[in-house]
Amino acid sequence: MRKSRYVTFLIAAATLSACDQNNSDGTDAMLYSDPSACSKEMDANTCNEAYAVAQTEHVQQAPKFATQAECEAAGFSQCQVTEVKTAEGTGGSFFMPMMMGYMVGRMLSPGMPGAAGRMGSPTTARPVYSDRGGFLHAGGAQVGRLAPGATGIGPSGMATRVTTRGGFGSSARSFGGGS
Amino acid sequence: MQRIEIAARPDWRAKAEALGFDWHSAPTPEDPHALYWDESAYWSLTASEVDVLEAATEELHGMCLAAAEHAIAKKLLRHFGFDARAIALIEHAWRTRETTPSLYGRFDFAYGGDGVGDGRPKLLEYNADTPTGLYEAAVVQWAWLQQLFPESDQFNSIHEGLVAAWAGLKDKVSADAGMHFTCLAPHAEDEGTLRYLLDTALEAGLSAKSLPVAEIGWSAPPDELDEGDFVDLDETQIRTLFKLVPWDWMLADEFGARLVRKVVGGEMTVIEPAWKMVLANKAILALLWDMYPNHPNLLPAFMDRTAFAPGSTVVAKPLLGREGANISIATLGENGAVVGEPLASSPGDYGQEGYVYQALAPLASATDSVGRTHQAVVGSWIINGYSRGIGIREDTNLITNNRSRFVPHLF
Repeated sequence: MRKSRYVTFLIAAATLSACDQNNSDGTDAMLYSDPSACSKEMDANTCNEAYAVAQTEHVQQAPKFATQAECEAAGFSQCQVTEVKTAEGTGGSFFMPMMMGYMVGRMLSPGMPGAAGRMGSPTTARPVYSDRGGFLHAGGAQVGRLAPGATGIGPSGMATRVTTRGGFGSSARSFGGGS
Repeated sequence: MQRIEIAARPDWRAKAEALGFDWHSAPTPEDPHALYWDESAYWSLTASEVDVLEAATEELHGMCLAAAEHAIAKKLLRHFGFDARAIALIEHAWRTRETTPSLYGRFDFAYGGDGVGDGRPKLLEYNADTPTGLYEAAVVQWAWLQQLFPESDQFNSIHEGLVAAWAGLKDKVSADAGMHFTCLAPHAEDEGTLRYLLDTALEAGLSAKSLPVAEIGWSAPPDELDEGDFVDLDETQIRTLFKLVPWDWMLADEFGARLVRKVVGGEMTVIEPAWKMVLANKAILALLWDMYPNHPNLLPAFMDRTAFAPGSTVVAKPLLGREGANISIATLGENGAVVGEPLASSPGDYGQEGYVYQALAPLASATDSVGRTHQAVVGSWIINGYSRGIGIREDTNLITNNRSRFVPHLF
C-alpha cells in the first residue's frame, strides 16, 4: 500500500504559528479556536460539523475531576466546572480541562471508511488541550495521557536563576536550516 | 519516468494556502513570478520504477548505517572536518542510538528509469540532518493527486510513516516531559515544515510546543552560569528537542558547548541525533564508494580528485554544503586539474571545510513545449527505516538548489 490513507490538516493549516516571533507568548497558540476561526480557511459546514464532533468527544472522553485543584494538579492549564446529567435525571458537577481548540482532520481519499467521498468531509476532529507549560495535547484517544510528570511542567518560579537567550541562531545563513 | 505538461488548476494558490502551504512561490527581484510549487507538469512513473526507488532507498539506508558505524569505529571522523568536540558528541550519540532515535532523512537520486544512465537510482547526497520538502511531498502533492487523478496512485505514505515513527518514539522521548520543536524564524518554509512535523507528533499522541531557535534560553544561577538548563519562553526546561537547524550551525553558536554538555550528560535528547551529522556530511559519499565500490546505487566519489581518470566529468561538493551552494561541475585532465571552464557552478558560503568529488550522473530530463529543458532530482524519504515516498524537484539548471521547483508525481 503506497497510497497515503488520509491526511490531517491539524496544525499545518491552523493559525498556530510554530515559530512566529510575534506570537511568542503562546496565548493564541492553538489550532482552530472555534468554528469562526476555522471557517477563514475551510468550508464553514466542515468547521461546524468538526466542532460538534470535537465537543462530543470532549464531553465524553475528557478526564473528569472532583475539584478544580485535582484537575490543575493533573497538569491542565485551565479547568472548568461541567454539569453532567444522566438519563435518569440525576447528575453532578465535575471539573474538566477546558477545550482550547480543536483539530480537524479530513479524509482526502474517497472510499475509505468514514469518507463521504468529497474533499472536506470531516472524519476526525479532536479536542485540543493545553497544559500549564503551554504544551499542546491532542484529545480523543490521547485524552488523559498527559506525560507523566506533566504536573512539573511550567514556570520554575526560581527567581534566583537568570535566563539568557539568543545563544542559538547566529550561524544562520541567508537560507533556512532545511536541506 | 515521463514529464507530462498539464494546465495548473486555476485556483491552485488558494488550494495550496488552504493547506497551510504558504511558501509555494519563490519570487526574486529578477523573477518576481517564480514558483516553488509547479503543477504545470507532473512526472509519471511506472510501478516498477517505484519498486526500484523503494528498494534502493532501504538498501542505502542500511549501507549508511554501516558507513556511520565504520567511520566512528575506525576514527575517520576528522577526515569529515569534525573537531574533537563534535566527534565526542557523535560518538556519544552513536553509542546511545537505541534511546536517541532518528526520525527521518531524504536521499536525493539521479534517476530517470530506463534510458537514463544505466537505469538505476544513483545517490547524489543524503539529507540526513535537516531534510525539508517534506510537507510538499506528504500533503500538497497528495491533495493534488486526489483532486486531479483520484484513480492514480502516488508513492507517498509519508504522513503515516511520520505518525508511526513518532508513536514508536513516544516511550523514548516523552517519558517525563513534552517535546520542543525549533527552527529559524522568520522563515516560511522551515516554519511550515516544523508545524507539519509538530502536527504529526501530536497526532501520534506526543505533547509538543515550538519556539524559534533564537528564543531558546539558558537558565542558570547567576553565580554558576554553566550549571543551567535550556528553557523555552515559559522557562520550562527543554528535555527533548526536535531541531530543524543543522547540527553544525548549533555547535558553532554561542550555546553550542552547553548543548554538547547537556546531550552527552544524558540530560537532553535531540532529534535528529548528532550521529546523523556523519551521514549529512558529503564525505560519506566517498566512504560509501570505498566500502561498496561499484554498487549500482552509488557514483564514484573521492576526497581526492586525482583519483579520477583524465577526461572524467566530476561534481565538486563542499562537505557541509546545503541547498546546492558552492557546487561546481568540471572535466578533469591529468592529476585532477580542471580542463577549461566549469560546465556549471553555484555561489554560496561553503567550501572552506573541504570538498568531495563525485562523478557526474545524468538526471531525468525533459524539454517542454516552449523549449526549456527541465532536470529532475528524485528525493526519496526514509522514515524510521522504511522507504515512504518521493518528492521531485526540477530545475532548468544542472544544479538543484533551494529555488528548484517541486513538481508532483503519480504512477
